[in-house]
Formats: sequence, structure tokens, C-alpha cells
Amino acid sequence: MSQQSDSTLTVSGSGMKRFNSIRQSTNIVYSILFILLAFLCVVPVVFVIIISFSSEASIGKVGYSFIPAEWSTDAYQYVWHLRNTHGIPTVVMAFLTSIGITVVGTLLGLTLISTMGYVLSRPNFKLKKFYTFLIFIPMIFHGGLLSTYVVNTQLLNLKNTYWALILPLCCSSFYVIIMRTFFQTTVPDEIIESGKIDGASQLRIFVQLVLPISLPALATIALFLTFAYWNDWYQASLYIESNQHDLFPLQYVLVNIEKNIQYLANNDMAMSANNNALPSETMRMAIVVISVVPIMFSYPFFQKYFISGLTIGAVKG
Amino acid sequence: MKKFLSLFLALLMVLSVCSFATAESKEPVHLVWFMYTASETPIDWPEVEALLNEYSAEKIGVTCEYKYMDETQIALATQTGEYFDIAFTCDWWNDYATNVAAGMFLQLDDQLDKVPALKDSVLPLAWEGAKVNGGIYAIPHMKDIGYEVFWILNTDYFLNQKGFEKDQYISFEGIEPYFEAYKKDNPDDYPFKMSWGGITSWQNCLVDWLNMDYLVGLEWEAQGTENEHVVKSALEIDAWKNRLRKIHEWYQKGYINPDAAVTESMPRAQAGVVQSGQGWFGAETVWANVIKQPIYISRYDGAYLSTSSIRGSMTAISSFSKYPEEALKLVELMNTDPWYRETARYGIEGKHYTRNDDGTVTRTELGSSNMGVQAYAQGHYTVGALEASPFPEVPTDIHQWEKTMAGYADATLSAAMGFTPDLAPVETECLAIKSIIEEYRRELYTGTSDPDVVIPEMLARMNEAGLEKVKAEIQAQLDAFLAK
Amino acid sequence: MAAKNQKNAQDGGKVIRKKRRFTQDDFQLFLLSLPTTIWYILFCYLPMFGLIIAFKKYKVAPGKGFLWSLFNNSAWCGLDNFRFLFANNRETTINMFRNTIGYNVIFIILGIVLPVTLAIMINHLRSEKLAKVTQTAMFLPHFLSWVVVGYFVFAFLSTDNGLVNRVILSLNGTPVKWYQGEAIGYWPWFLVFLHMWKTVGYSMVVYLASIKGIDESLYEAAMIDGASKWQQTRYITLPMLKTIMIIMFIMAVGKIFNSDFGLFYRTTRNSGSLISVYLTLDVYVFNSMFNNPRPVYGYISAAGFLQSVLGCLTMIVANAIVRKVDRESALF
Repeated sequence: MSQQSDSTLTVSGSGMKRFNSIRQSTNIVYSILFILLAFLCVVPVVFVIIISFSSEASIGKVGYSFIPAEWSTDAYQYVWHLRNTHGIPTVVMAFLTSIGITVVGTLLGLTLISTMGYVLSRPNFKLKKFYTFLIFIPMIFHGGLLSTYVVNTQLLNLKNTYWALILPLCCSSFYVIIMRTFFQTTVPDEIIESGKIDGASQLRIFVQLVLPISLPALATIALFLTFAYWNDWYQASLYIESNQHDLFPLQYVLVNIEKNIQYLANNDMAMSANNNALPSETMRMAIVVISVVPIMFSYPFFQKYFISGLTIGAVKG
Repeated sequence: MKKFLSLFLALLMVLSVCSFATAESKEPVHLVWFMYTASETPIDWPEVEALLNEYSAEKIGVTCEYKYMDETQIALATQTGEYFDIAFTCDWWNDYATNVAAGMFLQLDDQLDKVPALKDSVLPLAWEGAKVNGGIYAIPHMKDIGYEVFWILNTDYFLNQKGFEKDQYISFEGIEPYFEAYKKDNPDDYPFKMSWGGITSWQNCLVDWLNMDYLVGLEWEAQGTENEHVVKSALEIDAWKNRLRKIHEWYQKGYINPDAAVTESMPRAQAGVVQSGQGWFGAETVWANVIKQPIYISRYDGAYLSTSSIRGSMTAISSFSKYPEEALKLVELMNTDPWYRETARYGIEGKHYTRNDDGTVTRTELGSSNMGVQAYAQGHYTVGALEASPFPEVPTDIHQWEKTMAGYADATLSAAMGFTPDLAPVETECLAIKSIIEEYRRELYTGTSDPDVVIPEMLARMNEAGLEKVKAEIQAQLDAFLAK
Repeated sequence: MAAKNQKNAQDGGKVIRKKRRFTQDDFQLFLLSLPTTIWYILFCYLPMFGLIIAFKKYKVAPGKGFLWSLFNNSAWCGLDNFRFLFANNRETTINMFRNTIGYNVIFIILGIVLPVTLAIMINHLRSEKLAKVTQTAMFLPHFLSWVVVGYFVFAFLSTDNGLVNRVILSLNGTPVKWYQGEAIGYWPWFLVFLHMWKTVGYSMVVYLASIKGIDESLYEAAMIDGASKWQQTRYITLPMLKTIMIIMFIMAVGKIFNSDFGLFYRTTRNSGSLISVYLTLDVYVFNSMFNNPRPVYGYISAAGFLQSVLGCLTMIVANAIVRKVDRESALF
């Protein structure tokens, strides 16, 4: 039996939808397929979680296994006990930093990407060709690490600031093109025309008419941006000096922990500095869990826009 | 008389106030020091740095900002012209030879007389290793500057349980009985576990490296013969090949873990009853600390001293430093002043470490987690207190460095001491060779692949990629160097 | 623009007069896109001069900045820096390009066909809850970095303790040394599977969002006319997705000389005996520079430049073909 769509703005009632749905037998086949695929995708993540709660000793003896010989929260405790100079757990500080960067970056990115995507989608725009090339070239050609680094640090003075973590990532030609395509295919010209007839400026048309019906597209790009920001640590490794502990985003902190584990495992001389027994294998997995689980919970928020999205009701009537 | 006295006193006071004032008005010079870290600045470093600066400002009128960087950051910093006065350098970080060739480091020969304490703190023959084209461009750190490779054996298992005699000089092949004993007791386990790097430092006493990345060097064994200056690839040196055959034999006998070639890291604490490491007599405390069990060590290779062994860790002054003399003075302070050295290495006394009666120190928990510095990158090991051992069976020998340094007098010296090849003309060939080495290296060093099959293949491909050209280039440079 | 108008006007009707005046609309659109334009100039075009590093032997001048070193201290060397990509024997070089392009062709095709099919199917599921849950699940692999996936694969394929070998042993078979030469035939399949596993859930999102944008009433009308589900898909859904599919295709083609480094390097653990099946351009560059304390920026830049130029050419060709067939869907 089909279920009611969660969205409240479905134009056609659920009756039509039910009538137009696939055969029950096909539905069962599809359902089984998707359950299998979901299983295939979830198992590794569950595995990672299990390992993170195993004891280091059981890993050393038996290797990774689904049912560990011994459970322990050592890895998490170790991470929790890392504190900054004010006594606040490093991961908490980094977590908050990451959230801030992600939210600001996503909103900024959405603005930049959707405006350019809209402008490129207008067929009568005189500068369209010029702009298309403008965004096309950086998609293929990059100046490279050195020159980007020099521009960002010496010209724009972004070193050791949050902007160094936000600005370089907030826009991408790939997303602009996707956005442009969405606007071209799903926004009917009549809407724009009706807006113009009403005497609205392009900005008003964009914000009040086009954006509300493009929510699936916006949600998609917002999703990609959110994950790009959340997962990024490379920008921090380049632009945040290693003594600015409070500016570190979460991934960077976790990558550093990982690097430390690696280094201590491979270098004898370093060990004299640290007498604690590192739960290295389990900690790797704990790091993954810490970075993945919070962002996973944000996913359903985006998902509702493209599973049970708002349909284009506005055009009718 | 009284009048005269009071006038005299007044004059004295004025003079002292004046000199006081002028001394105060002289601002301490501020320097920048690029330091190595695997990941980030130690958390408590800012307060330690403040303390260090207070001390150095008073003693030599210098304060310093220490910037901790990893490989990527240092490459970016130096390549984009970021300012620094002092920097850590070696052949795997902030590469020494390349920087000297680019003119980044100050030539120190004339300057060293101004810092006699520093000059004397370094072993005379170590200066040879730091030379490039006859000039000294960095100060080598006094640590294990020679190649000495050791077996690290589990005391409890081998001495107590199995009744082996404590032997200080077991040879490379001589370790087999130990493997056999363990394997008999534990047929499903492996006595010699390793990661894809293979046996630590196993090749350093077989090949006198001219460049370790591209596996070219002289043959140690050929010293004293007419071939002692012939540049070879490691793949052409019999001792190198024979040892690999031995390792392969051990792999087939099940002494080495089968997935070694794809194992990313093997922490010492898990690596089992037989291990190998580059060190010195006295390093057993370090290793015991890491392995968390009482161990004893036995040397199978060394001591050999060469340019590459000395370059493990050095400090250089930048050629564009605004205050080269002050910078040198600070380096001298780091390497001769026990208080400065200990504070930079361990932290604040009482908070990060406590001092023991025998002169050693023990880190506190805060010290272990918040002051994790790479001490060898800062300066000499020979200055300041050493760390106490956690195991009474493996006590810290507080004279270990004197003994080790004295021991180098008997070491075998490289036939190419002080020579650094400039590989810029054959850069392309070198990179191609490197990529070939990378393909085979892990399986070869861990004994997974058969050397008799793989080495000819590698050699053939390397020759195609221009190995002869590389060797010829280095040989020409070496001959020119020796002619001087 | 104004001058051009004048010229047209003065030509006196010889040229078909198109309205070339910069309208109020155009100006507003220009303003609307201004922030993004500024971003592109600052973060993409300013650093673009770095491309010349591919043609120079970069040498830093002590005490001088980057720009001075680049323009005054580094000699032009023509195409010299590109030589290192071909420095190995012919077999390896051919293999490298074959792997790079070969895998990408498979990834591009599957990378469109699979997500589109799954997106359409998941949209048809009667139970929306099931759809949501499974789609979330399928997105999860995207979160795991290749490093972690590498560990996971190792847990399966490790010779000693790996799950697969343990299962084989329990069935009285002989364990396989998965990371060594004997298993080389399996790895192309592993790599394709792993790539699809990681990316399908993520790629699906774009197509799902597109499908959501299709007007429901179209389907209703078709159904009333007696169209089957399959016909509805074929005549409504697919045509509406056509443009985005083609765009994704062209953009993917532009990256045909790049590769997903993490996939090829981490899952295989850079095993030497397997290298012939995973050596791509990016892996080769990494191997040459690995642990190299003297990164030769010229070489890295040259490799990137080559990938860019070749990718650009391929993209233009693909775009040109698409324009011939369906002008609307072209990238430009």
C-alpha cells in the first residue's frame, strides 16, 4: 500500500498517485533490490562502528572482526581527553568550528552558485557566452598549489582566518552548470514572463518566483556543499598554522590524530615523548565515526527535498 | 671629604642608572625558527616558549618564535619565500642538499669561531658530513650520527624462558636460531613482524649512500680496494642482494608476516619478540618505552659513518637572515645550555616533568600529552638530562652519549665523506627510477617477492630509464670532488 | 556594445538588425552575477598564472618572494617538464594511459546509467519510507574516505585474517593471496565495483532532484491516455532527464585523464605486483613524488597541465558532437 507523501503541497491528491503507481509484484522486486543495496552500503559503516568499540588488544590478535573479542571505549576516551589550553576538549572546539564554517560556507556558496546559474540560464542575456567561458575555463585549468597559496596568503591575507577555510571552496563551476541546467529545464518561461509583465526586477523574479520552485536543486547543491565543507581538512593544513589550535575544523583535528598515530608507530625517537599506550587501530575507526555520524544525521533534512519534494503547484490555475 | 664621597656616590648612581637604562632600551632581537612536527604544535608550547624567551632575552638578547610545520607546510613556506632565521633540515624534511644548492642557507665556516662552545659541542668528523662543496651550511645534531643497527629482543622470552645467552653482537644471519625457537613454540605466529618498510635500516651498512631515494651509492665492502670509489646502484652490490635473499628465505619459512608488503604500519608494541632498529648502545631505554616490555639489544651492523648518516638531523641559518650572529648565538644556547635544552625538550619542570635523583627526568602525564616534541629536531641529545626508563631491568645509562661518541672513533668512515651529488641534471631519469623502485620496493624488502627474479627485472627497467646516465653523472662529480 | 550598435545602424539595413542593445534586464543580471564573478577572478583567475610553472624550472631565490623567484629566477624550459611522464619504458607508459582512460570510460558510462536507473526505480517505490531509508543508506559510502575503505577491504582480503580467506578455509579451499600477482585478474572488477559502490548513492541525488522537478500532471495525463509505466518513463521521465544526463556526461568526459587517486592507491595498498592494473597518471605522479622532500613543482604542474589540456579537448569534441545532435543540451 502506498503511503501519503509527507509534503503538504502535492497538487494531485494521493488518490491519483496510488492509481498511477507500479504493480505490486514489481514493487516487491524493487523493494528487495533496494534493501540489498542498502545493506551492502550500511554494512561497512556498521563494521567501522563495531571496530571503534573494540579493544586494541583483540584487534592485534585476531584482526578486524564483526564480533570483537573484547569491547572497550578506549579510543573514544583517548580522543575525548585531548584538551586545548583552556581545558576544553579539542574535538568539541573543532566540532563547533566545523559547524560554523559549514553553515556559513553553504549559505554563501548557495548564493554565489544559484545566482550565476540563474543568470546563465537566461537565453537572452547578452553576456551569456562570455560568462559561460568564464566559468568553463577554471573547471579545466588550475593555477596549481603554489600560485593559489601565494594569492591566498600574500595577496588576500587569508592565512590563519576562517575565511581561508570558507572562501576557496564556496563555489564550483560543476555546481553552477548543474544549477543552470536545473533552471533551464524545470523553470517554465511563463513564470519569468509573468514576473516581467508585473514589472519585477530580475532580482525579485529570481528570489520570489524562481527560487521557491527550485528547492530540489537548491537542496542538492546545499547537500554537496555541506559535505564538501564538513569533510575538508586540506585547506586547514595549508592555511592554518599549526599553533592556531582553536581554528582547526573537526576533520583537520582528526587527520592530525591519525598522522600522530602513524608517526608514533613508525618512528622510535618520537615515542619517548608519549608514554600512553595508543589504541591506534581502534582510534582510526573512532575518528571516522566521530566525523561521520553527526553529518549523517543532517542528511534527512536535505533528503526531504528530493524524495518527497515540493512539486510545482504554482503554475496551475 | 664627605662632600667628595657623596659626589662620588652620586656619580656612581647616575652611571649605573644610565647603563641600566641603556641596557633596558636595547630591545631583544626577534627570530623565527622553523621546527618540525608530525602534525601540530604541542599544546603547551606557547607557555614554554614564553619561558624560553625570557631566559634567552636575558642571556643573549634574543627572543624566538618557533613555527612548527609538517612536510607540506615547510615546502610551501620555503618555496614561496617565507622569512625565517633558523630552520631544522635533514635529508627527508626541508632537504639540506637542495636548499644549499638554491643558496637558502648561510655558509657557517667563518662564523663558527664566534660561537666556540657550539663548535666544540659537535664531533669534529661530523663537520665533514655537513659539508657541501667544502662549505659547512648547517650544524649537525649530536645523536646517533652513525649507522648502527640492532636486534631488539624480548628479554622475558629469550633470556628467561628460552635460556639464550645475552649476546651483544649477534650477526644478521645469526638471529635464525631465535626465529626457530619462537616458531616452534608458536607455529601460527610470526617472530619477525614488519610493515611495508621492511626491516628498519637494514641496508645502511651494505651501501654507502650517495642518494638513498634512488638507491645509488658506494659499496662499503669495497673500501680499501680499487673499487672503493665506483658509483653503483644498490642492485649491483652483492651484499645487498644476498641479504635480500636471506630475508626472502625467512619469509618462506614463515618467520615474517605474509601480508607485510601491504601492511601500512607495525607499531613496535605489537611487532613481536624480534625487532630491528637504528640506534646506539643506550637506545634500549627508548625502545623499552615504546615496546612496553623489558628488552635487550644486540648490534648486527655498524658503526658506519657517512655523509648521509650525519645528515639525519641538522640546524641551518638562512642566508637572508637579518640577524645571523644572533641566530647562531641562539643555536649555541639550544645546544650547550642544559636548562634551555631541557625546557625545550621536556617542558616546565614540575608541570611537565620531574627530576629524579640519578639525574634523569620523568615526564608527567601532562608532559606526555601536551609536550610531544621531536627532540632530535631541536638540537643535540648530548646536552641536558635524559629520560628515565620505565623498567628497572632496562636502566637509563646517563653516560650513554659519551660512550657512543667515543665509539665513533672506531667507526668505519665513508669513502665519500663530505660529498653531495647534485642531481638536477638528471632529475627526470631519477624520478623515473624512483617510480620503478616504488613498484617493487615493498615486496622486495619484506621478502615477499623473489630477489633473483625481481632484481634483474628492476635493473633492466632502471637501465632503460637512464640509470647509466645517472651513475655517470654522479661518478664524474665524485671524481672531481676527490681530486681536490 | 554601443559602438557595435552604431555600426549596425549605419550599415543601413544590410545586416539583419538584431536587438543588440544592453537592456535593463541585462544590467540587472550582470549585477546579480557580480559577486560570483568577483569570486572567480580572485580565486580562479588570479592564481592562473601558476600554469607557467609547467614550462619553467622553478627555482626559489633566497630572501625574495614567490613572484620574483618565478619571473626572475626560473628559466623557461619548453616542454622539458613533460618528459618525465614518458620517462619509463613504452609498456608502462601505454599501460598508464590505457588504465586512466579505460577505467574512466567504464566509470562514466556506469556512472550515468546506474544512478539514473536507480533514481527512476526508487521514485516508483510505493513505500516512501522505504525509499527514504534505503536512499540514505546508499549515500553512506560517500562518507567513508578511501583510506577507511582501504582498511575495510584489507579486513576482507588480508591473506592471514581476512574474512574472505577464512570463509574459503572453512569450505576447505585454498586461501588466495589477494594482494599479490596471482589475484591480479580480480582487481579490475574490484576497482569498478568499489567505485560504483561509493559513488552511486551520491550521483543519484542529482537525478532524483531532477525527477522531482517534473510536473506530476504530465504523468497523470499520460496515464489517462493509457500509457504504461514503462511508456511513461520512456516518453516523459527520460526526455526530461536527457539534458542533465548529457551535461553530466560532458563534464565527466572533461576529466577523462584524471583519476580517483584514493580508489586506485588506497584500496590496492599500492601493492607492487598489482600495479599494472591500477597505474593511472595520478598514481604515477604520486609514486614519483612520494616521500620526496624536494617536490619538483614543474613536473606536478606539467602533469596537471597535460590532464587539463587533453581533458579540455575531449570535452570540446564531446560538446561539438552533442550540439550536432541536440543543440539545447550542449554545455556551450
